[in-house]
Amino acid sequence: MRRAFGIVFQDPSLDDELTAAENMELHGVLYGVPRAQRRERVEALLRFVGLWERRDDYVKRFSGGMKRRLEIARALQHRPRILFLDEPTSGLDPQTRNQIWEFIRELCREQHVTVFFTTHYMEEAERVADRIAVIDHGRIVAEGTAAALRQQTGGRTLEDAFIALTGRSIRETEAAPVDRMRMTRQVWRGRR
Amino acid sequence: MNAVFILWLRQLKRYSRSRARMIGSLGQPVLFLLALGFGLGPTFARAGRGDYVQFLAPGIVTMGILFTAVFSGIEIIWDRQFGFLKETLVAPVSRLKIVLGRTLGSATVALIQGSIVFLV
Repeated sequence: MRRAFGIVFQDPSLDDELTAAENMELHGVLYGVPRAQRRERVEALLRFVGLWERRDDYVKRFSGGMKRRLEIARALQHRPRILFLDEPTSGLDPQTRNQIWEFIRELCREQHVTVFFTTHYMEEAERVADRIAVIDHGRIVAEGTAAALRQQTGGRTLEDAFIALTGRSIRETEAAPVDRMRMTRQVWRGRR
Repeated sequence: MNAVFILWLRQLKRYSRSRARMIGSLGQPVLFLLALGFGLGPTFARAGRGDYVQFLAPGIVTMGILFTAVFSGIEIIWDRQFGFLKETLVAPVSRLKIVLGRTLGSATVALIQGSIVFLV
């Protein structure tokens, strides 16, 4: 079961002290990719995300976008049938964002992977996704294609539709302990 | 089995790459040996108990190993913070193997550390 999907978390889950290639290798071994296939897959995927030249650099020297790309490549290494992406584009610049969506679309077309992602950007959802579900307070409140959602609410854009569905009030959810811990870490790292 | 090995390897790689850790964990025993060994040595000798450094050395080696082991425990928390722990947890590998790999890695690191101090 766990072999059947690949996952990319909201925040990086790479080992900073290892190189890109080593991170890939570690993943491959954990997911039981045969040694012979591992090499060629790692090479193909790293070329695919444009990190082949940087394969022997430590991940701690990578930018946010590069880490994301590496993570996507890593998640694809064991040929999953479903790929989960949790806000793959949050905190990235437009170039990197477009590049990532480019990969993802290519992926769907060529490797026939089902991609399941969450995002805060309505344009992205509209442009990339075949089916969209709007989630509010942990519940799916609407589902369908972008066009259907717009029609259903009479909004001009998906953003209007989203607001119509979820209301205008700003969500206040408390950060889980882990998030709080990460925030502390970011503050701490920022100070150095 | 491969999973255990790769996690073990990771632990060793991390250790060999962090110079600060190596210097720190070597500096501490040296400090103890010099400060305590030569500071309290004469008193000890006068009390008629012989060579103090010899008495002290095994304790310092043990302490070095213990220190490294504790640090390995902290590293798990570190992994959690940096998100890497999730990657190992979602992998199709049993928890036992993950723990085993990490523990063996840490044990090896502690052993190396202890041997170095021992040689010094």
